[in-house]
Amino acid sequence: MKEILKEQFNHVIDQEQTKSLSEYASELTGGISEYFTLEEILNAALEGNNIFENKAMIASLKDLFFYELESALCIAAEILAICIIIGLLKNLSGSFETKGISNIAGFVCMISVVGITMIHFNDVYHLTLNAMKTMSYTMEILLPILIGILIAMGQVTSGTIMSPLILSAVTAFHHIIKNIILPTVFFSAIFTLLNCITEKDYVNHMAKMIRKAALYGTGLIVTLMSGIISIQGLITKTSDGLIMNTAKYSIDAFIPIVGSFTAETIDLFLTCMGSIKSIVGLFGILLIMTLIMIPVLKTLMIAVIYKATACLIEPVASKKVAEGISDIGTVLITLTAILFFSSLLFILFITSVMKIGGNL
Amino acid sequence: MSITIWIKEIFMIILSITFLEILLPESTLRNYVKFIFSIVIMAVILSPIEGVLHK
Repeated sequence: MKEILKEQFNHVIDQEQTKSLSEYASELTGGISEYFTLEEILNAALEGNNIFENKAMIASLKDLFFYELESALCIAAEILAICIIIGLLKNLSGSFETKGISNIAGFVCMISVVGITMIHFNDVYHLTLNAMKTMSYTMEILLPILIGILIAMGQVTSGTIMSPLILSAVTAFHHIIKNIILPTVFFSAIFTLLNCITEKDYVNHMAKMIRKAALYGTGLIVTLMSGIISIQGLITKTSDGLIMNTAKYSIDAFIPIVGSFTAETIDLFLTCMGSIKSIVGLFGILLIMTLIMIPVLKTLMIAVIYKATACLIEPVASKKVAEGISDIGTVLITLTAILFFSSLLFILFITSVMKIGGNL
Repeated sequence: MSITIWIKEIFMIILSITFLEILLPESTLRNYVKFIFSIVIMAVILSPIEGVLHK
């Protein structure tokens, strides 16, 4: 049984394509995705092992966590130092001849805070963009394999309808996120930072409105697409189940003597294909989860550090600066939420294809 | 692309106006000048509407 499964697996899966995908992903995740290769998941499924039981993986995750914490603390220290200088300048303003000089000095310090924050935001933004790109690339490679297996299992209607539907949904979603939603979050960050330089609120509400629009827009698109895919999946599943059962029954009943053996062989073949489909689907889900791990960890860490910095600098610097830093933390959390939503949608696509195959 | 230009315009006008406000001398006119500055910012924020109306 195991040999049959392995042989079928090697015939069905395009090894080179999945290998290139694994290499690309491991480059992006710093080697964490290497713990979940297709072969390992196959072996784990055959032997009944635990795929998460890996000490090296936990150690590398721990290293990553502390590395991100360290780099985030450096940012916090920079911002804190500049804010202390701002506070000092404010108190020194009495000793200057005119108030303008200390004001301009404060202005320059504020611009440097904004510059530091913007550089780090830009890093995180590009990390998010890259993660989005790799996730949709993963989907574009894995879905044709999954749907090929689906058609081989006799789910012809599902295969022919779901294939263009899901692939176009993935591409459309990627483009909407890349070209509309993420730039909107970026603009929101610009306005938030601009608002903490100015004395009066000029673009405070605009920044908040844009940020919320991006978040709600993502939620709406995710709901819409997941709804369409799951309802379509349910309907095609029913029609395919009908065809499959009729075919199996007619082979069993109308072909004398060998008919029942043939029907059982078909059953065995279908079970093998079903297991392969589950393994490929599982690989896809694990890959997407590892892909979003680094951006989400880094972004959340920086967001938490910004919020903590805002608490710390409130007694020293002005209220505006503290609010601005805290708001940037919120924008970063929004970025994470959008990335999380998109990974959720992609995982939903994979599971809805995995589900169609029937009893697995 | 035009959105990027719009955002850049808003950013530049607010930054330069904030800088100019610091340089304003202390006088009764200061408040009126500030008001005019905020009208200018509003005009820049509203500028995309102009393009829509002219088409």
